[in-house]
Amino acid sequence: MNKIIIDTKEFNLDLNEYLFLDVVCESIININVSNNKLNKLLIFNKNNNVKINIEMHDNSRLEINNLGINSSISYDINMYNDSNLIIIDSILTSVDSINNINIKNIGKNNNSTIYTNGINLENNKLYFNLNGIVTKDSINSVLTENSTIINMDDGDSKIIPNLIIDTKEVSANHSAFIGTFSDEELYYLMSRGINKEMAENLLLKSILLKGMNLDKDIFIKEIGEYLKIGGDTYE
Amino acid sequence: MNIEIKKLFVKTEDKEILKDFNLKINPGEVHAIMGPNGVGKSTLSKVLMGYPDYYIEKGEIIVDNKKINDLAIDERSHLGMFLVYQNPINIEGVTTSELIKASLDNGGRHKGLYEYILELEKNTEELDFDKDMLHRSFNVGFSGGERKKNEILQVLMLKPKFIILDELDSGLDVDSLKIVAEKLNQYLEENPSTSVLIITHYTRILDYIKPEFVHMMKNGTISQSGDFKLAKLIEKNGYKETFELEGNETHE
Repeated sequence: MNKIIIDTKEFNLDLNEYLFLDVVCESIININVSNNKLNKLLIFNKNNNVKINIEMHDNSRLEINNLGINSSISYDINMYNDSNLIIIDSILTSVDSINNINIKNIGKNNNSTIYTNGINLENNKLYFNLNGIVTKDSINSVLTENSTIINMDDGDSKIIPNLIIDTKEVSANHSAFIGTFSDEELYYLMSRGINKEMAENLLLKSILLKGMNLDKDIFIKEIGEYLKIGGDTYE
Repeated sequence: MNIEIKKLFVKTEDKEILKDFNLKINPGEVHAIMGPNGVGKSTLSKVLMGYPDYYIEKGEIIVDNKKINDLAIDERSHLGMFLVYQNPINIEGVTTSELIKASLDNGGRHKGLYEYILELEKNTEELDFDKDMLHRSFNVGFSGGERKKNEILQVLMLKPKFIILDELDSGLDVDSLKIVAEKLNQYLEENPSTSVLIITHYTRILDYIKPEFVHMMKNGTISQSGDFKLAKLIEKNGYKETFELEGNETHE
């Protein structure tokens, strides 16, 4: 995995396999995915707003794991034919965070799976606006969206899903949850002697890492430091 | 550990679950509570651990001469109480190793990292538990048997003084049950003042971890108490017939 520090206002990238983008300023990132390998993109973004434009050409495959802390992210993605996209987008925030994921299916046989996991720590906004667009000729596409926000205070949290579909041959589904932890999980950890604050922080970490398949160590360290639970996994 | 439950009445919202429940467990004793579904067995385990969903109307839970009715769940764990869950949860993104280390650190049972790793790996091996599992998300993708082994691994690492086994044998195949029971029995031999409360529908687990006292629950209270023979009587006759056959005799 190669690492690129994104410290310019605009950055263009032809993605090839596995890359880590460390975003350190507000930026627009334009990405082309044109090969048929499994391309992987790990993104870490603290304190910045970032916009990502992706062109997924025919037969392309891409998996994105993003962790944002006190930040916002917007994706505009065009999917042509036979492309496969997975986005796991996790946001941990105590400032307003407005996140948009717009996926436009232009061609046939596309598959997109989007997981958004959010932790709203204080009385701020945390929005996930999810727009899946399937054009008339984009037959046999599959769209899956699954969103979770945990409210730790009285924050304004919203999940706004829109599936705009102009064809009959499509499979699309969406699920959303906004709330707090399940008591069962919290009580289990406390029954092992872990105090309530630490137990909650472990569960927050769990939610932020939900579904992530790429190298999680970077994220574990950042989450651990931010939540003061340590980044050591004792592994 | 000395456990005394005196005249305990417990309810959730509008339903009374435990009614005038009495039980005394002396250090080193193994007790079993048996009963059909819905009599309050699992509720008892959660009340003992301090789950806030259950409201104690009357009565006392006393542990080593200290009333613990108002103690939080984690504080009860620090006293040495441990519940082996019937259906342990899974937590993605938190490894087994990390969870156990956090438990030790929080309970004032801190170990150095090197000592911790050695002990963890030794216990893992003895439980015939794949070491890779330690570094995977807690119980995610684990079989029922692996989840139970993970519970017992925590017993061995946290060294409780009072262990509640809630339907330990559910989800365990015979081979795994044998390993788990052997490790628990070895732990009890090495820590002879540890008390155990086995909660079970079936007698199978009692063939592996022998209780000195067996109690039968009915309608939120202990209806009959006896020794191991009572478990065998239940196995032979079923609960309904045993309720009818036996007189009331509560172990105090």
